[in-house]
Amino acid sequence: MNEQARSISMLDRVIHEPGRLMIVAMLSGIEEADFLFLLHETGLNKGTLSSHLARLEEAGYVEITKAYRGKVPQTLLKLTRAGRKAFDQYRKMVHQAVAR
Amino acid sequence: MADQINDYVKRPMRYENIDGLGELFFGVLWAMLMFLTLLHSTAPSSSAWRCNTTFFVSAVALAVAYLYGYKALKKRITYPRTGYVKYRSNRITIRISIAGLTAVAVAIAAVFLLRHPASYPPNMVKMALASAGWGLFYAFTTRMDSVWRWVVLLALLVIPPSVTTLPMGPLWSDTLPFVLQGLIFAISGLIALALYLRQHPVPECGAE
Repeated sequence: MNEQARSISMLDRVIHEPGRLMIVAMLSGIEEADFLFLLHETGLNKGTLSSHLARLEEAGYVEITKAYRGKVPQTLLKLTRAGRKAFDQYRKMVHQAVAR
Repeated sequence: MADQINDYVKRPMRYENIDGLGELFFGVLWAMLMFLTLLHSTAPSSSAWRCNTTFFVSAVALAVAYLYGYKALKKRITYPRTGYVKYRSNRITIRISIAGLTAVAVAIAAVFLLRHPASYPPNMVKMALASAGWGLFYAFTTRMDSVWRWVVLLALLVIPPSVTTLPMGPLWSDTLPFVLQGLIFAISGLIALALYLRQHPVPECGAE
């Protein structure tokens, strides 16, 4: 197996899925966001976004908090330290794979 | 692929001005500060507006109103429609503060220049340079993705320097173009806000 193929095979499968990659990348540049923001910016539907978030939470990459803004329920999403580290590692591997 | 990832990472920063409120507030602040400067320089010597303390207190009050008003409108308009974002290490607050402080600093510099009229270049050149600076700022901070934005940019480059050629007193000729610059920014913000409100009605079930 050549170096490029090895780099690609070592990519984090949780983050590598396009929908989850979008979510993690957007959350990486900010402190936190709500569900509505991700729904609007990713263009995913509610069900797909929820299932991706559940998968990311299960992997320990995203922290989900239920809160209220006035009387309106709000789901706040935040990248955990592990999620941030995994995303940084993922970006590094992608750059390496592309550079070779 | 790396470019695509970078685009995703930068998307929340672009989201900050999705509603045009940034431009609107900056434009209003700028126009008000310049108007305050004009008032400070043209009011009768017995007027309170002539007093330096009044000027500084008013300028600071405007900057504070700008910061709090901006946040309040964001909560009321943007978050229920397209979602809430909290930025890391207050990057946006820092940007807004820098813009506000720059505006206050320029207003103070304008007062100084008005008091020492002999030491600066002719108005037309000065305004053309200032407009070029603001044009760059506008093009850099907004997404130039529609025709009306280019029209605003053109207005920003052409109108303020042209106004200096109109027959009016030196004080008016020094400050009116700056007031117009602020108003052009504010109009741009209003257009962006109107388009945003039309494209993004409040979801019926509210945020989730």
